Amino acid sequence: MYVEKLMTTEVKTCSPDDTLQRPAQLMWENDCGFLPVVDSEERVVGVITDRDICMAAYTRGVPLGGASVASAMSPDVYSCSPHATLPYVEELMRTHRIRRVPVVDALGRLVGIVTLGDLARRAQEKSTLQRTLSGARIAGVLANVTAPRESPMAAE
Amino acid sequence: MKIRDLMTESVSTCKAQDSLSKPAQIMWDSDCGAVPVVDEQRRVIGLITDRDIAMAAYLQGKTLAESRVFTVMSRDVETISPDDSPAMAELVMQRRQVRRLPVVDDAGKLLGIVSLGDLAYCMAAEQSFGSDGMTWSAVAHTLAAISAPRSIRHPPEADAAE
Repeated sequence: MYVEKLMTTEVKTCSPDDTLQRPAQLMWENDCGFLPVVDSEERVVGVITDRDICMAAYTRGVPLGGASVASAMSPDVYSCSPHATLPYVEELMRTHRIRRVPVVDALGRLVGIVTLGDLARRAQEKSTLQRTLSGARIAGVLANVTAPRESPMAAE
Repeated sequence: MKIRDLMTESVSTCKAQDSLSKPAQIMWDSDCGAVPVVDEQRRVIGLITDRDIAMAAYLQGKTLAESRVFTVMSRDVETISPDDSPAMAELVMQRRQVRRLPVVDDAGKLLGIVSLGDLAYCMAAEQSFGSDGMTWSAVAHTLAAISAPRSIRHPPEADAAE
């Protein structure tokens, strides 16, 4: 099972030069909270979430039309290939504490997106035995992603 | 295990009349994504998330300081009792497709908040399988249910204040 079987390919994007109005509008219209930021050649140069927009609006004190995507996006992109395995993506999410991963081709161009929710739903489709095992993995990733930043788990 | 054993007790709150800067500041300071809205008696009357604030900034076209919490908060907030089980919390989260539940006493006063992450974290810390009806698999099932595509979009009541 590879990422390409599971990923969403209909992904809305925005440009680093857009104002925050653009990603907010796309998140509103598509009921999503995450957008890859791509350059003119469709290469992923960042990601932006509804939380990033909220925090930029707070720290800047300006309406969304007054701040750029580039100034609020996260430029650290953890992406994977369409041929990555599901355990690889789980590990990527666990290590970097992220729930969404852009899927890119060899040139870094966006081809889709895969989320922790996609992995969880996939785990539900499997047989009972597999579901228990996969569920454990997924819950473990979720626990790690949402753990407090000064993680008590590290002390155990 | 009960909800009281795994809920977060020190929860910052805001008031319905506060500007959106107040919950945003709490979210910034506390690295959290949801703030309960309470009345003078600390009864929960709403919940506001980072997404609600981002969408309000978009729809209202104003700075956060110019918009009030009551214009965008969710009013129909599902709560849970401290004596309920984690399994009950999972059921409610699945049914309502929410990741966080305010924990309230019999009078509706806020005692804490419990998140899907708390349930998962609890499982990870205790490695307990099924002793109280909650398993790793159940947590993943809840996550799957919550993150499933929604058919209904809930528009914020953006015009309520105007």
